[in-house]
Parts: sequence; structure tokens; C-alpha cells
Amino acid sequence: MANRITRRAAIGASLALAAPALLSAQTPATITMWTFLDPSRPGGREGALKTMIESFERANPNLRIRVEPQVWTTMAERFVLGANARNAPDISWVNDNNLALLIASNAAADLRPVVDAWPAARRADQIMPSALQSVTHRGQILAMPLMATTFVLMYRRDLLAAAGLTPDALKTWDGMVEAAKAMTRDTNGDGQPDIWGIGLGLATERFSGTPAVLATLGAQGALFDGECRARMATPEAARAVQWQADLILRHRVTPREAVAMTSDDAIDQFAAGRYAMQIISNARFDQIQRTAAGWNKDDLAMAAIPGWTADKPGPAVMAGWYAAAWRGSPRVRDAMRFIDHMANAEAMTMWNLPGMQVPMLHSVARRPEMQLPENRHLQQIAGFFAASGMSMPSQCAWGRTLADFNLATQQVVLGQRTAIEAMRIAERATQDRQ
Amino acid sequence: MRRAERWVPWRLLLPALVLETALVLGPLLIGLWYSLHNVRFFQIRRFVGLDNYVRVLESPEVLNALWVTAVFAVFALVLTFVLGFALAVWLERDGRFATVMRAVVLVPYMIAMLVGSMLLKWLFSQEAGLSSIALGPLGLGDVSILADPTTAMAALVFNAMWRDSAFAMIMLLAGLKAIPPELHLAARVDGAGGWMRFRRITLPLLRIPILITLVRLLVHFVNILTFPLILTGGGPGGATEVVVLKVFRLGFGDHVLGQANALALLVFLANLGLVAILLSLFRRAGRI
Repeated sequence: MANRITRRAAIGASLALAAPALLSAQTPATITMWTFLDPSRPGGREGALKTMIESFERANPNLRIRVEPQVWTTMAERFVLGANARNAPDISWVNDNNLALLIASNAAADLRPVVDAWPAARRADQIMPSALQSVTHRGQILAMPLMATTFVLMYRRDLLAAAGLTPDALKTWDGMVEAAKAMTRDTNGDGQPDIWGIGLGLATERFSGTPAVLATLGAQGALFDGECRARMATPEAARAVQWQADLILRHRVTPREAVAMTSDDAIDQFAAGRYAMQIISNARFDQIQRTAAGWNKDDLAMAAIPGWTADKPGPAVMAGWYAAAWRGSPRVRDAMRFIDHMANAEAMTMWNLPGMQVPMLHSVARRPEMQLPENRHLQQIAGFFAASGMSMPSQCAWGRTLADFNLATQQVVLGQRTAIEAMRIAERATQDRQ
Repeated sequence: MRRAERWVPWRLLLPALVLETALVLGPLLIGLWYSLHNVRFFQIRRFVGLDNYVRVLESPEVLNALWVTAVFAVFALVLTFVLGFALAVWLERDGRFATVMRAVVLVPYMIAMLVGSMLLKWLFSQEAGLSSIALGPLGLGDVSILADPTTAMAALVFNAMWRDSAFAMIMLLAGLKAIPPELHLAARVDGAGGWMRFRRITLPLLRIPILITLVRLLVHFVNILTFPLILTGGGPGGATEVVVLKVFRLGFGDHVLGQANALALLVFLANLGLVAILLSLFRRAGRI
């Protein structure tokens, strides 16, 4: 009997062949995102992200967002290594310290088409337009700023008042020293201060921004030229490092042990009531209030970074978290759309409250909720950004430059080098990383 | 021997050889490859030959790190070994006190290195630790152990002794227990004193445990990372920045993996050289 292809068999075969395609058309595509937040856990930022994902998926029923929470300290490195191995997530969050790594790795997709599509009102609403400029490399926008933090001068209101001073005394670096002298106290009469005027963490491991870095930025505007050549062996930088070393050597308002303390150690000491003032990221405000021991947490206050003169505040250097789309992702366009979704006005409102992040849009900063006492510090930071906000050049590797300043200060405190010699070494170390 | 039997040893060795190749030789070769290239931000940019080796060897920071490593390794090795040996001899006899003390000595070794170093950091901290309480009555209340280059190095060596003398004690105690007591009894009958028996019986019979302990401690101290990373952060002023901490910073802080691998390979070769020297010293002394 001859084999014949019946109509029924032909239809069956066609359906069988088409089944995978039909099924895939029904199954939503998944966008994978690495972030340090876990939307399944409680928390303001976590809840905000969860809400954003839900609203995006409602608007795009054919897309699903899968969050793979990561340890934040190695997330950027793993993203770049994954991109090299052609196995990266569609989206990864990157912190400011690792933007140079992201840019140099060529792992990130250009978000310019998304940003170019923004209406003029959305552009004008940005408090820190320079945040986008800082992640623009050769005309490509390689990451989207989502959360902004900055260094601020945290101080104890009670100690400042007890010294008979007002926050106006903290507008300049020299004023800060005088205030620190007035606030340094030996409460038990053992000849050793129990409360030091200024806390510093000058270790070269687990470091953060210190007055010397910010004073240098305030004096000369930048640490790099346009070609990422380090500009740190300058009289301005040497003056700032000498000023910082003198807090220990001459003014004795900072303990000598600061040269061995990490940024976290110093913050712990501040929360324990051992320091009257310290330059700290505003992101630590709630943590310090939570862990304040031996003093009233409501006495914690923030001021803008001092300047060399009272008429010019120091820089509010923007740090924080950015989102980048993997250039090699098969769903790169959808990934870029979700990144845009996480940065639109609605999302920025959620990052602000309940996420407790600094408003990055003027419209968010003007919300009535920002007038509430418990949220006023967030609005205050937005004000610092608006007044003197700046971003570090993301294409330059500056992450460990903060440690180079710390090493320079250590060398001056220990009498190993003069300030300018120490800054020559710091400049070379930073330059070698470019 | 039949042909099939001739291959049996090789078949038995094969899994270990495969593992060794995959986990040791492979990374070593990749490291060598990276060290010959300009690798920045995890991107291999171009072949640079021995340039990375020249750069790290010309770097004052690396030369300082080599010196710091040598100082730390020598002091830590000698003091840890001597303390471990003394503890082993002291706690050799079985008894309730010796058993309890052995457990006490072992506690620092059982604690994770990172946790132990953090504990010591708090202890040495002038602002928050116990050192100011201990030093205050001596008029040294304003001395900060970790803020002075010399005392910071001493603290690092103390960290090594505190943790690793227990390892030396275990190794040497095992060796001491393996010495037949009859030898000591016979020597005692012959009129040998304690020092004579120690020199003529204990030391010669301990030569292998001593060698293993010294080699293991030497490699450990030359390649130490956790103690300086946690306790001193390499400071102050680079006084405790050992060479492996420098490798770590070059690789994962500065993202210059070519130089980091070049330095790591030089450290690896130095390790081989040091172990070879130690072995040859023991051979020359007729101890193995």
C-alpha cells in the first residue's frame, strides 16, 4: 500500500511544528536584573522596587522582571566578567565607584535613545543634570542614575550649642576647626579627650570621602583633567592634606588613631558619642540615629560641606546607584525600557518615599511629604545638590583615589613625607590606575 | 608485570592529576598569560611581554611590601614556632590541666581568621579597646598601638603568634607523642639530664614534624592576607602592607590584573625558593 500524506496528518504535523513558536508567543520573556535589593523582603526601597516591577509587568504583559539579589560589593565586577563570558544579566545595578569599570569594559548598552525620548519637562525636572553627563562616554549614556547620596558634614546639635556656636560657624574649613576646638572635651579629667571635635577614618582599606578630598575638589574643581590625567600634586591638594593632618598634629581635635581607623570604625565611634562632627555619606543618617548611644538621636544634624570661603559651599559630590543594561542582551531594548521605568517621575517618587532616598527631581523635592520633620533631611540633601552638586568623572578610575588621599595624610601625620611629596605619590598611584 | 597492571598506578593517580591540573596548573597558566598582557578592568588589552614584571619590581610600594613581608614572616615564624614548641613541650604530659590548656590554646586557631583579627583590632583600639585600659596605669593611655608603624607591625606579629602557635603546638605535640618513652627512660638510666635528652633524643626524632611545621608556617606567613587586611589595613603609612595585600589591591582595587598576576607569580616563585632553601638546610644538617 502506498504511503499517503492525509490532510489530518498534515494538519497534525503543522501544529506540532508550530507548537514551540505558539508556546513561546504565549510565554512572557524574562528580563533578569541584578541588584542588592530583594523585592520579596520588607523595606522601603524593596517595596518601592516591587511596586515598580508590578506596574511595569502590568503595562507589558509579555515581559517578566526577575530580580536576582546580589552582594553589592562584587556585583559590578561579576557583571563585567559575565559580559565578557557572554552570560550577564540583562540589567545590573552599579555603584558610583565602579562606573569606570563599567565604562572601560564596554559591557553597557547606550541608553541615549531612551533619554533622547524624554519630554523637555522631564529633563528640566532633574536636580542634577550632571549625573547623566558624568555617565556619558563618547556620546553614549551608559548608566541611569537611580539613587543619589552625597557626603555631608554631620554634627551634634547639642555639642555645637554647648560650645555657644551656630551652624553658620561650620561654613568654612577654618570655621570647622575652631568649632572642633570648642567641642573637643575631656569630660573625666584624665587628660585625654573623651569627645573629639572631628572624627576621621584614614585607613586605606574600607575608606570613604574625607575632608581633604572635598577641600581639594572645592579648591581646584576636579581631580582629573579631561583626559583622566590625575591632578593631585597641586598646592591646593597639598594644602588640603596638610589641613587634614593638622587636625591631629596641631589642633588636636582628631585622635591620632584615625590613621588606623576605617570609615566604618569612625562612624561607629561617632554613633557612640566620641566625635562631635564627621564627614559621612548622608545614607548613614538613619543608621547613626538608630545606633546613637549616650546622646539624643534627634541632636544629629547635617550641614553642607564647608568651603574655603563662606560665600562658596564645598562640593556635594554625587554618589549612589545606577542601572546599566547589558549590551549583549537579546532583550536589550526591553531592559532599557525597564531602566527608564525605574527612573521616571512615578518611580522617583517611590524611591523617595517609602524608599527614603534623596529626591532627584525638583517635582519630588517639592512634595508636601518632604516638609514633614522626619523627611526634611532628604529635602536638605536635594538642596545641597541644587546648590553645589557635582559628579566625579565616571570614565576615570577614582574609587581608590580616596585611599590615596588617606595614605598621603598618614604619611604627613607620621612625618614620613611633606604634604606635596605625599600628594605626588598619591597622584602617581591614581594615574597608574587609568 | 602484566601490561594491564603497569597502568594501575596511573589510573589511581589520574583523578588527583586531573584535579591538580584543573585547580592549580590551569589557574597558574592563566595567571602567567595575564601577567604578560596589559589587563585592565578584566579586559585583556595587549601583549606587553615582561613589562608588568619590570613595573612591579621597580615600584617603591612593592619593594616596601616585600621588605614588610620579610620582616613580618621572620618575626612571626620564629616567635610562633618557639611559642608552639614551648606549649607542646609544656602540655605533652597527659592530665586534666594539660587537656584543658590544650583546648584553651586551640581556641584562637578554631576561630575564623577574619573574626580573630577583628577581635584583636578591637582589643588594640585606643578609642574603643582594652589596650588603653591596660596601658593607662602605665602612663601610656595616649599610645595608639595601631597608629604607630612599629607597634602596628608588633600587633600583626602578635596576631600571627596568637592564632598559629596552636597549629605549631598540635604538629609538634603529635611528634612528641610519637617518641617511644623507653628512649627517655633508657637515657635517664644512663644518667642523661633533661637538656641532654631534649637535644639528643627529642630534637632529632622531631625533625620531620619540625620541618613540616616550619614549611607550613613559612608559606602561611609569606602569603598572609587576612591579618593585615583586617587588623591594620596595611597601615599606617604602608608599614604593614605585605606583598599579598599589595597583590589583592592591584587586582581587585586598582583592577590592573596584569601587574597583580605578575606580582603573584613572583611571590609563588619566592615561595618555592624559600621552601627549597629550608629543605636544603635540613638536608645539609642531616635531618632528613
